[in-house]
Amino acid sequence: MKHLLEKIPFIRPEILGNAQSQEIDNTSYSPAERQPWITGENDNTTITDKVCGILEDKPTFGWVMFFLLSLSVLGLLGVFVPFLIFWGVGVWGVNNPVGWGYAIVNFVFWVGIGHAGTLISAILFLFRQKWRTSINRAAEAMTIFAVMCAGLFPGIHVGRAWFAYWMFPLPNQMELWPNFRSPLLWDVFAVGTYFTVSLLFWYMGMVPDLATVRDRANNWIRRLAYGALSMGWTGSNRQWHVYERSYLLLASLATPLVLSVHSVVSFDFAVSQVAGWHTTIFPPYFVAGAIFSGFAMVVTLLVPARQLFGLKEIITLRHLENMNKVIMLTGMLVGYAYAQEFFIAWYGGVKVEKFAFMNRAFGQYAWAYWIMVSCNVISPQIFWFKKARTNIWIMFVVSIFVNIGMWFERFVITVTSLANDYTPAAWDYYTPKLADVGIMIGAFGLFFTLFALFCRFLPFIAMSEVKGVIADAAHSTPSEKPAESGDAESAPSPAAGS
Amino acid sequence: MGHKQTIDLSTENRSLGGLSGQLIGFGAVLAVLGLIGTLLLGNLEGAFESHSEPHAAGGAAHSSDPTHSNGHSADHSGGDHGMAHGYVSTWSIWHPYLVSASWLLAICLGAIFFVLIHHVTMASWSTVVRRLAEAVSRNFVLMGLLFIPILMPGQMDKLYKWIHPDPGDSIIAVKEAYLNYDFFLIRMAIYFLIWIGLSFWYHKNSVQQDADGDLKRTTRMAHFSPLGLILFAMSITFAAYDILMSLDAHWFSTIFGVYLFGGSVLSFHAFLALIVIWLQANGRLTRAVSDEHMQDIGKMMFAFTVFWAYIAFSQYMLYWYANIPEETAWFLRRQENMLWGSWGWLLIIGRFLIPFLFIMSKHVKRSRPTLAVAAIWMLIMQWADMYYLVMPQINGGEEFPFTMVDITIPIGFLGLFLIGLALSLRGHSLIAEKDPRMPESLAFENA
Repeated sequence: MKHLLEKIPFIRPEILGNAQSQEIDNTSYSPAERQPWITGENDNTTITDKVCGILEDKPTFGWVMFFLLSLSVLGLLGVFVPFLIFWGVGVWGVNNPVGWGYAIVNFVFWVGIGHAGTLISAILFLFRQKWRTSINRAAEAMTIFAVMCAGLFPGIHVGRAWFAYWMFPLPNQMELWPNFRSPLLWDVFAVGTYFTVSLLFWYMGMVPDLATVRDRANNWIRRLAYGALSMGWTGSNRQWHVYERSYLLLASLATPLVLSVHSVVSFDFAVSQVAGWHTTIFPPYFVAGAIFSGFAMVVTLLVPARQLFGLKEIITLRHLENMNKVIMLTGMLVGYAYAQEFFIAWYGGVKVEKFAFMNRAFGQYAWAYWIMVSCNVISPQIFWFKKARTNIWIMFVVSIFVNIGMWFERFVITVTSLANDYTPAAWDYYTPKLADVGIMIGAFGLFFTLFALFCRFLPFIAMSEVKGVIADAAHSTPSEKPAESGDAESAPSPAAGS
Repeated sequence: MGHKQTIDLSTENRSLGGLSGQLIGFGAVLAVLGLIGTLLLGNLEGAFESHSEPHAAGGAAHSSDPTHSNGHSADHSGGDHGMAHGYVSTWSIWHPYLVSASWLLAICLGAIFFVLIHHVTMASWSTVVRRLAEAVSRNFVLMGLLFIPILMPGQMDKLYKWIHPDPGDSIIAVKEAYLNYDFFLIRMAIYFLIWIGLSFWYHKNSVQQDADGDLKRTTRMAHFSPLGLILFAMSITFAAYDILMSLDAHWFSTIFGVYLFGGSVLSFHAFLALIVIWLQANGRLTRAVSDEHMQDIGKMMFAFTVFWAYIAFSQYMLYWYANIPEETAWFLRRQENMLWGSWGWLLIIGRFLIPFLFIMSKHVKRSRPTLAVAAIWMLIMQWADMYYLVMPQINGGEEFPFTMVDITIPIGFLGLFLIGLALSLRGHSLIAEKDPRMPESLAFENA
């Protein structure tokens, strides 16, 4: 298998840049001791070199290809968004019962993707999960970009996009206000707050690393740019003290946001009286689903990225295994919610509710429902096996499945309930048009383009935090364990330190 | 982490010893007080009279007269079934009994969740207190015994309307395949089998590791924990539907299982804090469980206070906003008169706002007296929450169904619970002696 794969040109090391770093298995589980998070023989210097190398060395061929491809997909937005604005939402496939089509599906999908970052950086920080340090920076970046993609859709869905600012309650001479009782307005606040706090949190965490990049800069442009961004960080004792205090505070403030954003998004549906939307488990169920899809996207991005940038010793198999466990857990939580919805739809004895769920599973959208169930509930079950949890190819494929499944979940919720609502005479089948599909794919282009730029211009790994993890491991190993067991496990890395 | 000197466990007093007699004695006093109080005060208030109830005259053994006692409280749900009700509106002593049984059951459920989540996450901070959680979870046996009287057909009739629904009640007829006596009994048996099985298996392995120090036990316990959590999630959900939600067989809420879960985990952590504080006051585990561990227990109490509020808010807000009669009926009974409306506010303020503000500070979590106050308060609030779930349909919410047995029964049950806890704790170490992660746990710091 491996032999064959190496023959594919795209995976060959010279194209993938630092690909010669070897996969070191640090996932073996023994109750007596913990495996190190960072493998290989890494110290502060090698970490800095590897991470800063990504943005200092010449771009690899793989990166350039990825960037160009993303940019051309982004071009779709450039075509279809003006098309939409010029002609109006009639170019979409929305019809009378189904007034919310791909736009809201994509909005919820992207907001969901944007959940892993702040969960990893804030909640896992409060839980003192050291493994977050290797993945939090990229995950937070992903969050920011995903929320930007999400923000696109309400903006263009208003029809007259030049009035999109009416979404905000701005004082005006016409005394026209948005409806404060509408969850759509709450969304504006919830997503807006989330974006602002996530951005601040991401940027603040990055300041020490930006200073590192500034200090290594070898031309004046870099010095100026990273110098301005790092805001005079010197790494003094006092600065670190203030930094860590405020990081903890920001993490505590960001934690309720992780839950609130998708709860408010779920209110868009759940406060209504539409059968299939109105059920009390929606808020926690949406949050679980968001974390599920967010982690899947992190895996989708990090599996190739760690290969491309030679970060296998920093984003190790054990990090990936943990993420896969989270995916499996949240996948089952989502499955739990599906099951409870079905059970209560029957138990409640409300006929329309029962119809809505039977219609989902066996009606004209049954294909979408079963795609959702197989991707979200069935496919992560493979992670019961450790071999699958630690296999790069399997986890990559499952993460894609989960992304697909979570997109379809929003499709199923939105479309099935609207298409067959309370007035059978008005029922209609929703078919997307070219502009729907174009904008959906274009949003992926926007997301990947921004992510590619992030990889090249900002430190991909939270270096200062990873160094803390290495320091901890170095401190605790010799005092508590007999020498041979601690070293023997982390030693076998012949080609380490590329 | 790991900069602290590890404590030598052998210098620590880590067996219950003489305290077991003290705890059993105290439990016995509470139990006797509860029993005598219930008999005496209950008798004075007429709780045991089978034909005249304390607050309302109504039929006792069989379903109550549907026309009586519901008055103008607009809680008929839906349209086509007239005055059919999904709940029993006549008070019986089994109502306070169910409140107290659910209250303590919640603590046990939280305990088994604590053990399972400890293993599935391979946590280390909680290793020092895991044995206490294992011991609490073994009280499922006691809970099973306490639930048996409720499951007798006569008592079921007094609590659950779906046993003998009103004629023409089409809503209960729909769910007869699920809500029927035989299947109910089977389900209850399954729940308790799962809970007792899980708690005894984990306790057994943990205790045996004290003797043999076999690392494989830790691996085995960790390996089984994901499956255990699935069993736990399914059983707590359906138990919540069966025991509490079906008290009003017309009403439904998909989040109801999560609601019980939130309260359970919260009240277990409160109970755990109290056990530790009591043990340390008596010279047990004084250094093994440090301020750091107390702070973490406090954090969990804080987190689940918020979680409970989040779930309660989700449930209330969505039903309030959509304003569909069959869904709001349950809440209408709980807010349209002063009495239950205030009880709702008691939960919002007492179960969320006060503990939320009080336990936010690190110093409150690390100091034993303040943490104890918070823990006792939270346990009282768990009881108040159970009361709120069970009682408001009595007399259509017109009258406060409070009697002295509402106080004596929980006291008696708590006494039995403490005896059960003492029996579980005694004879074993209070700490998982040879757990491989014990050094890590002892050195734990909130760094």
